[in-house]
Amino acid sequence: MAFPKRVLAMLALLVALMGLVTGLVALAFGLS
Amino acid sequence: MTVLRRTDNRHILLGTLVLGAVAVVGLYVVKWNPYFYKALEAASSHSIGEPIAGKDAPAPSVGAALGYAAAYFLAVWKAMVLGLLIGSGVQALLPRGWLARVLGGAGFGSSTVAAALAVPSMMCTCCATPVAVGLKRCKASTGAATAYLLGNPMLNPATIVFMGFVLGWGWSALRVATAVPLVFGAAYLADRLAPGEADVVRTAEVSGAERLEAEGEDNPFVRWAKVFARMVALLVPEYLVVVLLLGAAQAFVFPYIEFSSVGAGLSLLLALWLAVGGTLFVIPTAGEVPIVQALTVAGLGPLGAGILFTTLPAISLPSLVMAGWPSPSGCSPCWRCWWR
Repeated sequence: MAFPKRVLAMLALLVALMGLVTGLVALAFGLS
Repeated sequence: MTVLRRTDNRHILLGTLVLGAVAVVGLYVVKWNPYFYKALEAASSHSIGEPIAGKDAPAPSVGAALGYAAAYFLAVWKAMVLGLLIGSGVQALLPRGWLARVLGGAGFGSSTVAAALAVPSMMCTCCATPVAVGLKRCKASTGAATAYLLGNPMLNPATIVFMGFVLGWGWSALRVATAVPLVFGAAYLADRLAPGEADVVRTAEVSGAERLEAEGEDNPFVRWAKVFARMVALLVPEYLVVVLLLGAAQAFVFPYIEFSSVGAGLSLLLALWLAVGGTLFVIPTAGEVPIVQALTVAGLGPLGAGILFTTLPAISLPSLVMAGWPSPSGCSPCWRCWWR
């Protein structure tokens, strides 16, 4: 297996969390 | 023995030069040249085209699946072929000892080199996955392969320029500010989660043995063709199936909502929904720019726009499945094996 499954699960979780952080920053700075 | 070693070295040099040429010419034709003209277009029209998904998503159906898959593959097929060529070439042509020295360390140095290699590649997550898989199989550390995988869509300079012209330069700055910690944070965590990688002793003997093992076929170009065919047979079928499924599920990922009338509670729920949907959904390179543009015009606020802005390009279900697909040696591809 190229990437271990726990690494792939971490990637998906981290991207989703970073998406929420990006959304909050965009909201804070009023980007639209 | 000396003659064999000389032939071996000549093959390695020739293979490396050919792979380098394929990468540079391929990236010029598929990425650098078209993106230069696309940037000029974005500067003048403040648009890079119609969104591939997001607005007026069709109800789940075979037609929706086929329609999305056709539009998606039309946009990415050249980059996908290039990704498979480079990914197989890395495994068949490059000396593993050298790759292990440059990208094999579980630390910031290898991740930085991998991220730097990702910047000119400018691929979407699915087209970068075969290359990341190739690097990983050639003993690059998990962190370096992860940095390459995430760096391609997130550190893409062309996308950052498109964002500036289409969405505003604040969004470009936000991309840089979020992509850098995401790429390096994920690489760091990947190295921590794959503990065996850091302990591998990368001596000349180990890499030499691996190289000999990989060189069952003497001619490097026949070897390249074999690895390419094996990657196509292993990765492309599941890629097709998952893209079709996601195409059919567009209406769930991008639900039809009057965004302007969404209340605070529902807004939080929508934010979580978009975070999950955006992480799983697959788009071509820079596809998030017209999607975010169209949805903000339709009333989506900065919270939802920011979520899709990061989650849509960074990773997708097809790339996760391809990256976790079992190694070809000693294992036939089957779902049971993947989930085990």
